[in-house]
Amino acid sequence: MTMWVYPILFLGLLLIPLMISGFFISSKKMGFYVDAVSHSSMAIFTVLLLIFSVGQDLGPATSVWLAVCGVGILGAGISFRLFQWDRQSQEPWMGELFVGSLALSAIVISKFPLQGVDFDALFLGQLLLLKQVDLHIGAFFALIFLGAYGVYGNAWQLFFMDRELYRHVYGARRLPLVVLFFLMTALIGFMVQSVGLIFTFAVLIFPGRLAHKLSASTWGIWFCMAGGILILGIAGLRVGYVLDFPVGPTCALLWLFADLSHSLIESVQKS
Amino acid sequence: MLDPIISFDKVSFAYASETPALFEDVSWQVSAGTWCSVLGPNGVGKSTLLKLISGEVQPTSGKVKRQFEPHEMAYLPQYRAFEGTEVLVSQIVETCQKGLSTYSMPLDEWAEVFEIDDISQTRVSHLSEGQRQRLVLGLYLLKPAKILILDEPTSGCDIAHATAIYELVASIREKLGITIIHVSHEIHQVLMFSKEVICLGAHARWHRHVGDVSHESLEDIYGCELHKMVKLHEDVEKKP
Repeated sequence: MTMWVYPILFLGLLLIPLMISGFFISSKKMGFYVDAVSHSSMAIFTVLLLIFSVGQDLGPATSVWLAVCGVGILGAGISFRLFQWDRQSQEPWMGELFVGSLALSAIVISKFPLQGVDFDALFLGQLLLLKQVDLHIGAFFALIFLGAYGVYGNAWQLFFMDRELYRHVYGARRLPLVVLFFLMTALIGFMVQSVGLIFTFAVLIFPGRLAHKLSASTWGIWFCMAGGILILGIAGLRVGYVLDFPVGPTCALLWLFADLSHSLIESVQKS
Repeated sequence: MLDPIISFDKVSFAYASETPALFEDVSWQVSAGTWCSVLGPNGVGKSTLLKLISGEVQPTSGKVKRQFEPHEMAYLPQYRAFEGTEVLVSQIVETCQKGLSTYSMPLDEWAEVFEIDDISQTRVSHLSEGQRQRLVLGLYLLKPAKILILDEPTSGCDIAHATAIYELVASIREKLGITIIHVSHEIHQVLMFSKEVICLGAHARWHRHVGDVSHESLEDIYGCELHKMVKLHEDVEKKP
């Protein structure tokens, strides 16, 4: 395995408990938990991506500096979200600002020619152009979990909010669908190799919630999901390539875009 | 008697072979569309009876026949819903709505019946006990159901809110034609709203039409005088 496999594998292992705990906290405490958890997990992912990516080639002091910056942004964002109890309808827009600032910070950091290291080359080189299968195995484990959230976040949210009610509403019928979705995500990840990373991220930025707005039936949601994933995945790659953005921040930006459109759709519907 | 929705055929039940049986050779029938309340002191097996009805526990002997499928049952157990959750009511409602493909009634009507619009932008932790129970009841009845099973749904509510919940359940029963099976300690309200009563005591257990319930039979169950506290169905009927 290449040296880049280990951070990615570690990242995957780290993301799962982070995601679970973030999900739990958000479901219990957040007003607009869907946005909160997606932003939090995105932030964590982006920060970790930065830390691990630069940590390999830069001195320890620089890595620590970047880590502190990343954690600072993340901490400030999460604190802001945790203590703004009365924000309610303003909250999603605050979320956009949070993710937007995070994405911009990540881009600025990655563009900065720190000690002569070409960050774009690092990100694109390791995450987009590298063809090692091992890389995808690490990403696969991490993102298969996150991908499932995109579709089944709704059921999981209810599970964390009230298990009795979850049992009443969902019963056991969702389980086969979860398994099926896991398999589908795995297939995408393996088939498209590096590109699968972006595609799987697109699963997250085009969540079931948005798909549900476009279709009421389960199969309709799946079609919308698939279409959304494909379009956003390709768009993500294209945007990242043309504008020379690193993959992590591109994902963050795509997420921002998806969240904004989702918020806009909701605003229009409410008005 | 209307067609039974639940039939107990010589049902016996004990949680373990070494513990005394909570039910022995019980044969009852609950009519479809009725409101049947279960009364009795603590620890006599009221909640266990609901579990037998819902199929959560199986009788040690005898048979429970149900004229409904598991997904046609709304079983609201005795618990505090949304404990520790801070989310908005609208989010819980949306989450539940998305989880279902069919609803018991049009969503606008549902929101009106359960007064959801008034509280939709409130966090569940800020709801009063009455509002919370109304919401919970609404969410359990979002899905089409033939039978609604309630285990002390008004515990923690003051008399005004409890009565409002009873009135709500009565109107839903009328509107949807569903069967209500309900455990309660509020004898007075049970006798006002129910059609049938199952009483479980340490020494006696019976199932009667509400009009056939007497003070003596209730005192026998509870082991205390109830004359001054409980107004029977016949007393209510006599009132001009």
